[in-house]
Amino acid sequence: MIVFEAATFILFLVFYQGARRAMGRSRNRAFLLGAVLFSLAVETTAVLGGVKNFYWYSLNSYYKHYPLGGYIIWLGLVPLAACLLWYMVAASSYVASSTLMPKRSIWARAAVAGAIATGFYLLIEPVAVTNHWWTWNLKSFYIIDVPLLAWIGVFLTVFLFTAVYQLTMVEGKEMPLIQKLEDLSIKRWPMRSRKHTKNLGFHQLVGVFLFRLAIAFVAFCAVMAPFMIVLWVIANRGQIPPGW
Amino acid sequence: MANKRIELEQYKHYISLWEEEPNRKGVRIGMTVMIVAALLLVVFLVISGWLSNSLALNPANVLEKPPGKAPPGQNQQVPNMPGGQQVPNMPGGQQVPNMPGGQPQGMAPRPRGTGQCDIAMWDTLRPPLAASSDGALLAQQVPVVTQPGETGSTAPDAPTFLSAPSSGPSPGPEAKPVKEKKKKKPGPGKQTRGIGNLGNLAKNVSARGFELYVLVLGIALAVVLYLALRKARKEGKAT
Repeated sequence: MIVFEAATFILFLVFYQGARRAMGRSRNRAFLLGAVLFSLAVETTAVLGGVKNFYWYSLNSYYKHYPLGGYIIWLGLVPLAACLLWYMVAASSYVASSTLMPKRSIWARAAVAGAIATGFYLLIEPVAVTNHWWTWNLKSFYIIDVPLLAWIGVFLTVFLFTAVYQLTMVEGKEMPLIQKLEDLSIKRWPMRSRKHTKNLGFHQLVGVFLFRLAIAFVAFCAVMAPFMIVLWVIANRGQIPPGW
Repeated sequence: MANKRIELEQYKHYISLWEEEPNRKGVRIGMTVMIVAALLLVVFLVISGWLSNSLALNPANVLEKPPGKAPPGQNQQVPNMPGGQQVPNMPGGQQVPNMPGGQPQGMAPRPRGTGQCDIAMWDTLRPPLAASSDGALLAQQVPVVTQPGETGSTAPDAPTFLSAPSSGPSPGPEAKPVKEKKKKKPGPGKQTRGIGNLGNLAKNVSARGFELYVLVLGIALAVVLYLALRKARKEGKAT
C-alpha cells in the first residue's frame, strides 16, 4: 500500500513535468484540476453507494501498521493516490490517442483514449484487488474478481472527460445540447458573459470546462444506471457487505 | 493610441493563448517524459503483479475481509464459526487447545475457496493454539448451553456459549421436515466462479497465469505508448 502510494506520487511528479511541456502549463493545470475533481466525484459516489471501498487496512491490527487506512493523504473518502493515478492514465491515454490519430473526430479520439485507459485499468485492477489497495463489494457480473461495471466505468469516464477537455479547453467549441443550460446558468452568473466559448478568457474557459464536467458526471451516472441494473440481474457474485 | 489599446484589450485572450501554445520541441520533450513516466507506471504494475502472484493464487484472498472489531483491551480475535456459531468461552480465560489432528474438535475445517474471511483470523489464533498442549480432553467435552433461568447447573469446567447458535433448535427424530412454501432461487454467492475468479486465472499455465496476464497486458500497453512516441518524433523530424 505504502509502496503503491509512494510510487504514484513520484511518478506523478515526473509525469506532471512532462505534461506541462506537452500540453502547456495552464492547460495541464486545468486538466489536472478537472481530472482530480471528476475522478473524486466518481470514486466518492462509488464509495458512498457501497460499490467500492478503500478502507481494508483501516481497522484493528492492521491499523497499527497502516494508520489512516493505509493511505497517507485522503480527499474525503478517496485517497489522493487513486485520483492522481486516474489523472496519469487519462492524460497519457489522451496524448497517445491525439498523437496516433490527429485528424480523426473528437469523439473517435476520445473513444480510443477510453480504450487505452481501459487497457491500463485491466492491468491495475487485478493487482489492486489482490493487494487490497481497494475492494469491490457490488452485486454484479465479475471478471477476474473485478466487476464488469468498473471497466465500463473507466471507459466512459475517460471518454467523457477527454471529449469535454478537447471540446472546451483546446478547440473552444460550443456544445449545442447544453448551450441553453450554459447560457442560463454559468454564463449568466458568475461569468456574466454572453460570449462564444472561443472568445472567453482562460479562467472563464476553465469555469465552463468544470461546468461541463459536472454535466458529464450526471450523464455518466445516467448511462451507468441501466448497466448496473442489467449486471445486477445477471450477477455471478453477490454483494459482500463491507462491515468496516 | 487609444484605438490600439482597445484592440489589444479585445485580443488579449488570443495573445494569452499564443503564449500558452508551447513550442514543438518542448512538446516533443514533454511527450517523451510523459510516456516514459507512463511506461514506468506499467513496469511498476507488472512487477507488483508478479510479486502478488502467490496472493492471486489464493481464491479467498480477494474476498477476504479485514478482521472484525475487537473489544477494547482484548487483543485476541474471535474467529467466525460456520453457521453463525460463536466460539465457546473457556473458563479461566484458557485458549482453545491444540488437537492432535490439527483441528480443534467442534470447529469446522478452514474453508478454502469459500470466500469467507478466515485466513487472517486463523493466523491470529495459531500462536496460542500451539502454546497450550494439555487441553485435548477439555476440547472433547460436550458444550452445555446455559439457559438464562438455570444457575449453577453446569459443570465447573464446562464451556459456555456466548450466545445460542443462530441455527435454532434442532428438530427431534420424529419431527417432520417442514416444506418451504416458496423455494427461493439461490442468488449469486459471495464468491466468483469460472472466469469471474482471479484464482482460476492465476492457477493456469503451471500457476503462472496471473504473471503472464500482467506481462502480456504490460507489453501491449508499452507498444501503444511507444507507437505514439515514435509518431511524435517522426513528425518532429519532418517539420
